[in-house]
Amino acid sequence: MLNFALQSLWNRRFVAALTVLSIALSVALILGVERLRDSARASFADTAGGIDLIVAPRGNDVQILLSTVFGVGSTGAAMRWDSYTQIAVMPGVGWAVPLMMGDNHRGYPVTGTTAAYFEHFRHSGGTPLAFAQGSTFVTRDSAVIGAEIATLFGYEVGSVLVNAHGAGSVSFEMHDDAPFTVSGVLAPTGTVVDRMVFVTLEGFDALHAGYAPLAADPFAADAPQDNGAAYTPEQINAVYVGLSQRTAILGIQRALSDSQSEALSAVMPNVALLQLWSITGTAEGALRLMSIAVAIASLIGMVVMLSAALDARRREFAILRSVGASPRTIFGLIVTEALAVTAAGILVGLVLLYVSMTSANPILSANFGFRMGLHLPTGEEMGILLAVFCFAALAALLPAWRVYRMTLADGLTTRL
Amino acid sequence: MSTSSYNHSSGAAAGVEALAVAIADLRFNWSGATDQTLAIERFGLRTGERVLLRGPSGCGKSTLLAAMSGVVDVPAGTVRIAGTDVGALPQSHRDAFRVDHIGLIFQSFNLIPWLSVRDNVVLPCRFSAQRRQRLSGTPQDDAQKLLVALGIAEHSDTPAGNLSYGQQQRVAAARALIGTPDLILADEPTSALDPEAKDRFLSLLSREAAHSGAALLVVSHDPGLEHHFDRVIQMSEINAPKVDPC
Repeated sequence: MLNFALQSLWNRRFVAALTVLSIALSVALILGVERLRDSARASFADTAGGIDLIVAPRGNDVQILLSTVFGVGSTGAAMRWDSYTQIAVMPGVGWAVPLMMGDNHRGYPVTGTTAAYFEHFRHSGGTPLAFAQGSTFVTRDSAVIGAEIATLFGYEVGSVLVNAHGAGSVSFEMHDDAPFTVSGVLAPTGTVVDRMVFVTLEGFDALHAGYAPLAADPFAADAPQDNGAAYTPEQINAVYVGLSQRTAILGIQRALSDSQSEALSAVMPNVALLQLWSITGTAEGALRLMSIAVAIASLIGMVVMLSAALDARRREFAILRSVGASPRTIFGLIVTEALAVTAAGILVGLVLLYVSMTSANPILSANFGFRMGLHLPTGEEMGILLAVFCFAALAALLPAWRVYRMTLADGLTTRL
Repeated sequence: MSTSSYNHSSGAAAGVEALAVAIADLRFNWSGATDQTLAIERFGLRTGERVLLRGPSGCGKSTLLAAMSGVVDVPAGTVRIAGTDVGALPQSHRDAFRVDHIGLIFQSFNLIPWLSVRDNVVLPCRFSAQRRQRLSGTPQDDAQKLLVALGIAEHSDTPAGNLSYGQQQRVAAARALIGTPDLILADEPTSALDPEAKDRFLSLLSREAAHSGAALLVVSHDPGLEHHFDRVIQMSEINAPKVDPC
């Protein structure tokens, strides 16, 4: 029966192939949307995973999260260094890392921070950052770069970077008077860190020294070189906080909101992410709805293909009946054809999915700092495929029922 | 695939065992029609007998074939094929019964055009265990032998749709013959053929039917085919419907 159904389909291979292709596209689309969403979420969660709190000037939680951790969007106002030192000694705080933002290197975000960043930042479920080459900041003009930056621009330890002001990739205001020397290249993390440039706080400030109303200490450059650890800038943009006691979180949040000196927000990355997902959820829902609509359209296409051929195949069915096929057998033949087309569509769809993921990953990685996992279909995805298969079987009942009625009525009449 | 699971009513009356077809007191009219199409007191084919049924169009020949092949409902006890009361078979068993016992040849369009000639011939063996059991070798081997006997062996692997009418009818004959059914019914099998091909086709069909031992009933209104058959019957001799449709 299956063999016969396949031969019959082969006889109509052009239309059948188009139907298979449309089912394949819809399958790839459904699974692709799911994978894109899951990978994006997993990557975001991974990146923000090791940070318990982000303290920044008061603002929207999601915006603070995006601008600090992911380097997306503009950084808000600055906060005082004093606030950082206060936070660092609050009870329950394990570590605190100051951050300065707002510059870019060839369009990639530049972050001013201390060596503590490399010590405390965690990604991909708790993995600390590792250096593929070199080490953390050596002098105040040191820079540490993400793996992707290194590959992309061919940088290695010792390369000299010139940064631009602002977050855009095109800037006329180059800080070419304050170059940095690469002291370390981070191992790939699969997160946005791969696409970041880190400099010392002092180095970051030095970029802007020329624009400060008061000239910096002219002898500063002659001062003994250090790695910037002891440097205290006046203002920073945010502080990453790691807690030694989870329960301290509420106390810290309260202390900060009660603070008279400065209006600060303490953002829990995971909570902010949930807020972000609830915002993007609408768009995801729309995408998912669209991919389901495409799947339904392609299944309707299959029903159309089968139904359109029925009249032309009446003779074929009459011949089959004359050699002993019952109307039920012919009913089964149509359902078998539908399932064969759907199964082929699902298989081609999976191939399409993996091919398109493989080709989309470099683009995703370059623009958004994450990749989609090329893992085998998960249980949930298998469930989706099974649902497509079952809907196809259900949809096939329509032409199959028509053909059942038709064969009963036609009998062995072959003259049409 | 449906395999035969119907009950053979083997209690055939004495003297009926040797009959491939036994029709008694068959009355039939199509649903909705007031005129009787069939009113046959008695008609029979002995096993292995070759009979030509003559008659003009519209006098019930095709309906008679439909009644014999279990496509239309006939009253129980009126039509027996190889000892089985076709009218008593449930609808769902008639398709299986048909393929087990009857080879059918139509006027034209007998073949599935995209299947190869050989695959067309073996089709009944896909649906019938009995036809498979009666093969001498594999379905493909038996099909090949029949195709050789009918002179179209060189086209075995050709899609059936590529053959000429005459060749297609011979393939249909091979399909009707494979697995030696008890009865071969041919409805106007030669009407689309030229006179020379008609003669050639019937001599081949007749010879192969005799060779396999199947009874052969050919319905035709073509003249000059009588010499291929044991017996020639005019439809009007056996069929006497109340309102004469002829």
